[in-house]
Amino acid sequence: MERQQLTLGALSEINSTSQTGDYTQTTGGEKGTLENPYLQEEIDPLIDNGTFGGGYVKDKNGFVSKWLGCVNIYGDSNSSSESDEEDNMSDFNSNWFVDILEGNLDASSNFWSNSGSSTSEENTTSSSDILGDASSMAGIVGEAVENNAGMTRVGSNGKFYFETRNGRVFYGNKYVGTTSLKQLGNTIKTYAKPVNWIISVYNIGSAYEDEGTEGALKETTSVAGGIAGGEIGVWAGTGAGVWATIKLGAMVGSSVGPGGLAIGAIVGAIIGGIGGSMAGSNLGSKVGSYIVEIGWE
Amino acid sequence: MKTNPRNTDILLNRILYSLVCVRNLIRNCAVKGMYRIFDLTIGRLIYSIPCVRRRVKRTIGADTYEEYIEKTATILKKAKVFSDERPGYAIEYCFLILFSLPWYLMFNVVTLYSKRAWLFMYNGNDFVRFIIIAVPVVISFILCELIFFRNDRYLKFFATFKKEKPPKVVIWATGIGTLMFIILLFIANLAIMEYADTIYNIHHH
Repeated sequence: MERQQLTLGALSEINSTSQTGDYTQTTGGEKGTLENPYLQEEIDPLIDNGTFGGGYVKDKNGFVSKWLGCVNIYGDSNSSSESDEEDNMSDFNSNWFVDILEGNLDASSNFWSNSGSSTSEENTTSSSDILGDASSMAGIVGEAVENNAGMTRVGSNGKFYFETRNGRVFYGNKYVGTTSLKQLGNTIKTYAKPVNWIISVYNIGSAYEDEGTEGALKETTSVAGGIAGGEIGVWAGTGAGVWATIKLGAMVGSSVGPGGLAIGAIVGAIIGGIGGSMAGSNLGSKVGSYIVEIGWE
Repeated sequence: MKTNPRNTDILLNRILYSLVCVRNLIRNCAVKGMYRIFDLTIGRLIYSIPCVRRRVKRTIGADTYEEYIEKTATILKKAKVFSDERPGYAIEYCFLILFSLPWYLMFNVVTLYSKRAWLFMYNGNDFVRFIIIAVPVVISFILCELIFFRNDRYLKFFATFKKEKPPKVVIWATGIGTLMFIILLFIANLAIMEYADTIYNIHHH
């Protein structure tokens, strides 16, 4: 099958030839070419059998477009890096794609795919990305709470008990038990870290499988950017929260106790930490792409 | 080479201490700079409102903006929001990575010499792949807990290191050296994976 690189010009050419003509009308020339496209009802059985080799097809609306042959799709792109237009457009002339069509890749070569399947099964990209983001955020929230909670405790009745001005806090009685918020934050952070690292390793491996070393490096810089961004965001958020609580508190006339300070610091740290992590991840991904492009050139 | 576990503990805790010192230095500079920028911009803007100025004079007795900054700076210092001793999320994550990458490196080196191992690792079912990824992470998590964080063990080492007062050059060299070592381990892993693909004639992009 003669392969052509799809460009915007080719797309507009296809579009301009498709709007006229009866659905059943065919012209001379080899079947499957622009002059003599397949009809959709002709190729539907071929597609069901997996024997359609590709070519121009006129669908039931009279629209003529180039359809690719049946392919076995392996793996999925688990890259959490920001996708742009280049990533979304497949290069049909790439060696990888040619190998797929010529059957040079076998199922056993794909670590990250479900081996033996002819099409990609359930898309694990979204679930691993969601779990990765959730574990990253949980770690950052845990860190923010652990750093700034002070003596604050959470009661079994769902209420928060803050440190009083004389340095005391409610530890509970026979009706209400309390847990240290600092300890809770530490527990969340401690177990979120390994979960996030496992998912990151999986995503880096998927990126390696889909895009080779380039993709793996970009994904790694995205992960590193997320970690560094989260850390810096927690500093910035905590600092901003504390500054606002004390400085603005003095301006509006309320004197701030330890409880108010803890709330301001925690809220600021969570917002700053999550925002920092997202910004760091995006920045890391962009920097990684830039460095990899320079290195590969 | 037989290593004394006690010396290994000390070495790893020194590395942790160096990373914490470097982090604290950068963080304190960044936060102080941020406070200064806020004071010069947002604070001055809000203080320029007449009713705010009157209220500030009534509550803390500051007549000018500089006096207001001085009085609130004392409260900010007393707040002690940043705990200098705690390693934090990023540094703990670094050690998790540092202890797990050598395991992946070892697995990848084995696959260079045995296609069966390569197929077992990279062609198994989902459960096998999960175990291969998760086991080194669990081992490194346990190591981190045992060496550093169980009963805040690292604090005892930190107290000793503070008394020693190592030079700043040593601290910065250790911190940056550790980060470079992590990057090197990762690149080694990728290089070996790519080499294994070449040996077994598997093509990626």
